[in-house]
Amino acid sequence: MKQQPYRLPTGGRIERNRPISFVYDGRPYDGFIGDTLASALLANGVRLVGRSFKYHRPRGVMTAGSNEPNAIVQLETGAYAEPNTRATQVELYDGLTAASQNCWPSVGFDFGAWTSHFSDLFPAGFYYKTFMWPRSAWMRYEYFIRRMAGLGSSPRVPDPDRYEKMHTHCDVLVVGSGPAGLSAALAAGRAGARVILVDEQNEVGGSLLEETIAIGNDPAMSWANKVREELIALPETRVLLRSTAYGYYDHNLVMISQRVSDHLGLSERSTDIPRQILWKVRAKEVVLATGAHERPLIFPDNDRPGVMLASAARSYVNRYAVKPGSSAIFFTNNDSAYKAALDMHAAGMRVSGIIDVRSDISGSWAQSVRDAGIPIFENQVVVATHGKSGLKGVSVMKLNPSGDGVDGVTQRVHGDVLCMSGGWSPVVHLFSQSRGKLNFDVAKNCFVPGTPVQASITVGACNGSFLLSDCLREGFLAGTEAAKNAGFEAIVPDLPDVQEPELTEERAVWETPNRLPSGRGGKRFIDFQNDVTSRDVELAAREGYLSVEHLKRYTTLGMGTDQGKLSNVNGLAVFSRCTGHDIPALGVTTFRPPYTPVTFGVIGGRDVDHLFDPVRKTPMHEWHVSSGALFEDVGQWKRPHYYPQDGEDMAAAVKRECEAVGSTVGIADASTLGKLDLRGPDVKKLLNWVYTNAWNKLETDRCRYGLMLGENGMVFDDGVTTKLSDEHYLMSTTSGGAGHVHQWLEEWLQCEWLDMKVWVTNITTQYAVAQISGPRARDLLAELTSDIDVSPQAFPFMSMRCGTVAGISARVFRISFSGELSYEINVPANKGMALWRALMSCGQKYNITPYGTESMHVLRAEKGFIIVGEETDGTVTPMDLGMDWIVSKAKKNFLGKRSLSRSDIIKSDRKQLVGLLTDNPDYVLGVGAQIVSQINESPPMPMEGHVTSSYYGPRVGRSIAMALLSGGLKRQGETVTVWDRGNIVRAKVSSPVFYDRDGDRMNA
Amino acid sequence: MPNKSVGESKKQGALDHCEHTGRPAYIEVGVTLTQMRPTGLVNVRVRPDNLAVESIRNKLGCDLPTVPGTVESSSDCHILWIGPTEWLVTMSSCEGSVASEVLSAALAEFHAAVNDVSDSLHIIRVSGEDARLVLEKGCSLDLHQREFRPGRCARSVIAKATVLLHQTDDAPSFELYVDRSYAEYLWRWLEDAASTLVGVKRQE
Amino acid sequence: MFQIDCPFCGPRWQVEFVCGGEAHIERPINPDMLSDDEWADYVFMRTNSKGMHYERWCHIHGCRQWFNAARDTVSDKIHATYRMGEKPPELSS
Ligand SMILES: [Zn+2]
Repeated sequence: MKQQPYRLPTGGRIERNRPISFVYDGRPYDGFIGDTLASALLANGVRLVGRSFKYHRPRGVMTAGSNEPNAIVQLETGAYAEPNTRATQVELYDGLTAASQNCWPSVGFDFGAWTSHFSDLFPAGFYYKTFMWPRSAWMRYEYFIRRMAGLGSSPRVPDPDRYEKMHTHCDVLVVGSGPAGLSAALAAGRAGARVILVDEQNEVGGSLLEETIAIGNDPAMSWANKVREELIALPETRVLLRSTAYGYYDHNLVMISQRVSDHLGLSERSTDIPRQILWKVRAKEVVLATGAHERPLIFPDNDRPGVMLASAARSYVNRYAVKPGSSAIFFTNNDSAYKAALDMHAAGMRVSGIIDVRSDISGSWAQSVRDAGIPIFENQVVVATHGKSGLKGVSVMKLNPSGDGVDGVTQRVHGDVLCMSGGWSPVVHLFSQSRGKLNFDVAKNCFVPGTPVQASITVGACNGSFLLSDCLREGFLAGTEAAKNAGFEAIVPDLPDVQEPELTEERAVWETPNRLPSGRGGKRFIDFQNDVTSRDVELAAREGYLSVEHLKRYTTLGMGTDQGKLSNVNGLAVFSRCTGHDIPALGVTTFRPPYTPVTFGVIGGRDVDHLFDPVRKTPMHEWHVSSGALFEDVGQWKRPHYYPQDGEDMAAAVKRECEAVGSTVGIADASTLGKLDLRGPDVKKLLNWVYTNAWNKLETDRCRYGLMLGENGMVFDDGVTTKLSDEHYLMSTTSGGAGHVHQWLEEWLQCEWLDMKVWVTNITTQYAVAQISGPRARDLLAELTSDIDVSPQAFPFMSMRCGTVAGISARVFRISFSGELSYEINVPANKGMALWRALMSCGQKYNITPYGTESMHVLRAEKGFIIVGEETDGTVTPMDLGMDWIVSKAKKNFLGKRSLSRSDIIKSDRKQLVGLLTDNPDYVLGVGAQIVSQINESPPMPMEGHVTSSYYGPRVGRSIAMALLSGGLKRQGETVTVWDRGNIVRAKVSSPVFYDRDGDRMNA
Repeated sequence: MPNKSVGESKKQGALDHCEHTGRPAYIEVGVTLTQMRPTGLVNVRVRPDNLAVESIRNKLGCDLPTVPGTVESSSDCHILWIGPTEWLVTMSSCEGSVASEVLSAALAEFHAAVNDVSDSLHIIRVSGEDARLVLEKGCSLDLHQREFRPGRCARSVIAKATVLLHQTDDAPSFELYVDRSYAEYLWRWLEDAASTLVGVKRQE
Repeated sequence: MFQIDCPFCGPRWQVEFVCGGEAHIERPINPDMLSDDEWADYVFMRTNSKGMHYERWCHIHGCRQWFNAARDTVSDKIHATYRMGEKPPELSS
């Protein structure tokens, strides 16, 4: 065990019997379970932990929590690497490895620190001003800026950890387990409500973790642990530790990121237990007990390593048993520094004095400090700090009578830690995210929550109540009220006795007066993480910025990973001084989630690998797999794309498949096509409404193709509908279109045509569908059925027959998407595989050939059949497709009809569907290639259309394409020029039907 | 370790090739996943007026539930409320085609739609003391015993699959009716979800 | 993510629903009698209100019913949900 020179011999909440070692910037150190990385570094005397973002100034630990702007470290390496973690929140574990960020080659000697000497080149808005000229050089500048301002580096390999998500409901969610949160949870829990208490730390207590005042007869933390035990014993209460409520969304949804195993050494972690869990909590009532953050003061060189918040110093001493230095100086405008000074004095540290901007300081805190022999420098301010890479002392001057300047001589005070306190800012982030407005409390110098917009109550320091007894009282009341609001009977628990000194008034000071104007002397930082100084804010005000949102973006104030937790109010105060508008009038910038950064891993949860998205498979899927099919994703469906044989490429396989369909018989799995069962006396009426054509004369067992339009006249689905009986029809939709069409029909039936008697049921997956297509399809079907007469007269094109196929009860539709004689055989899904195998085995003699979606598309394109979503894109009417024949002239009304006569829709130069035949019959155009009216050396060129589908057509023996071309319907025979991925291709405009124009083959 | 039992199935089901993955778990997960064999499953659409309800009661010996999210049961049949005019009828004693004939006969006089959906749905049973926690990893329903009880059903989303969920007992056991094309995904998701409850299970 | 009170099923999370846009837009009875502008008004123009907005939702992953909701577009508070055919409640945002 090596020495930890700054570790106190006793005290703290660390586990001294569990020493551990860790590595920081390549050097080994020791610490204890219970330490954070920051406390362990301080215990080892490591004071320099990073370089600032812009000026690369040396920085030390400033806080003890989520508000840390400086100690931002890269954790671990390789797959476990995580950039931008706050050392003040990283729980130390054995073997932890961390490195400082934002410095090269090392934190001690940093190459980028030269920027500090040229800081006049880096004023507010310097990116916008400096690097925008010449414009073309920005890319080069950006490369260097990003290298220098790098915020750690992301891992380059897959994340090995497991992450989970949980959805949960509760009556009362309490955020924060300090005195106010614990009391609220206790009151609500005792009432029997479902309570979740969440806290970002590894144990409950919040501010009690470093509190020395007793609650009742117990030390504060004994009380806290008693409450925790009582809560855990309640059956409906859950305590979530190491869990950050990072987002407060609509309707009381609070998102929590729980770190389950981040605090375990890498060897103890396992991919079988989650690293983190994302909790989505829907609460009836929310109690916000999120506490407050201490504010820094603004004075020259207030960023020197050794300068920290007084509360942080207190936390290191009391909670972690670490001296943040050897001798401490305090600089404050309020009483809380006095508490810290007394605790440090009690721990045996030298306290050189308290510099307080207030005068005539009285009250019991001051009395105790004086009793301890600590000097108080009343009515004085720090005007300079000293020391190169670490603080050695400060210079102090008296305030002038008006308090806006300094007088007299400077006095030097020695010490290596400067603990500052500029007052407290309630942590109003979640309240603000819940859309609650903030009010500026002039007496307390802070923003406090206004009227809640959602069902929430704020309590304790978050509410601007900084006395322990107030926190407990407010917590009990809020917990009781929340439980009551959630429908429980609740009584307010008895308030324990707390003896604590009254607080004396704080004096509002932000940037403390100095002998030099703000541009001179040392830099006075407001935002430590983003290196924004008071001078930057002044400059922005001088340049005319008035809105705080603009100020934020111009100066980058509050835009770092700490989201301005320390800088927000201080920045506003300086801006207020410069603009002459008071703080309430300026308002605050919007607080946005997340409160602290959230890992991408936990946002993804288990939606990774094979669980990333559902894979929908048809009943015949396994056959396709074992037959070597390659698959295509169609929505979530896996459909066979093509079935390569003996090293065939796609072109060869598709050619073979298409030729088989054209010459013998092919078989395809069409199970994914949508199927909607329509029943009722008004189905015909519905069909007349939703399709463009007329349905009155369709006979039973006959099929009809239809186009569905939106009210804007644009095609949105197509399919074949079959009349099964007078009040029973079966509608087919595109693959993946069933849900959408079902919803569309239900919307009209439920919202507009309430009298129409039609039931729609989606039965898509009840049936497996095998499509057999080709001149021998009839012979094949005939062999497998005895009760269906398959003769052309008995079973004509566009009709349906029920019967038995391969011993399975089936509906057989004689429809064709390939242009050949074709049947679609529908059987119950569980029998799909049996049907398929029967067809394959019986079809062997015809050399039956399975074909996939690619061949389907080729075959239909040869026939000029459109695919909704290929030939249409939501801007295409039936007329544009040359399908006037399907638009009924006789029907008075159908959805979208009126739009078809709008002036824009009847223009003759609309893009219309044509075929394209390239001059070179072997050249296959690219889909999306542009038809241009003039060739320029490079784009842009005047465009008059684009290719929607393009293939080599085996049955027509040449390349074919479909395109939407301006005025295309009247341009047949014309030659057009196509710009195709850099090639200039000539093509002749033709009919989009390339094969069997008269339909003899499919009608055979 | 979650228990998984694969219901015997002679039919061609979407789950036939899903097997145990045997993933080690670090705390005991009290849940059993079972693939159940659907028998007669029928989707019914009708306006639930008195005559229609009575006709179904006469044929099936079971009432048509009209309270949203409830299930009526008889010895061999459950009727699950899906919507104000839609139900799922499950009959354990007969195949879907027979079940749909029975219901078609019962509703012959009404404007109704009866569809055999036995082949389009799979049933996965999630049972045991930790069943709720496993489901809540992917489901936003409030399944707490104060809010959801045996005899309740709800159509909702689990992970990325639409599911009709029926609580059958206080174990608690939930039967999930899921479209066959999502069944494999849901099964694998449940297996994964049931592999660990570290961090999720309430501390004792 | 909203919590929406389905008039049939009760409160459910937004993932179960789809929004169908503005409610209470009646389809013109005789579209042929309308000018292009009047028809375009029905098809394309929406109020896009700041404040109370009446809109159509469908409980697509639940009971499959369409219904109406009155939502304040500023606070996203849903003041009421009601079944198709029911009159919108009198509300002020
Ligand atoms: Zn509903």
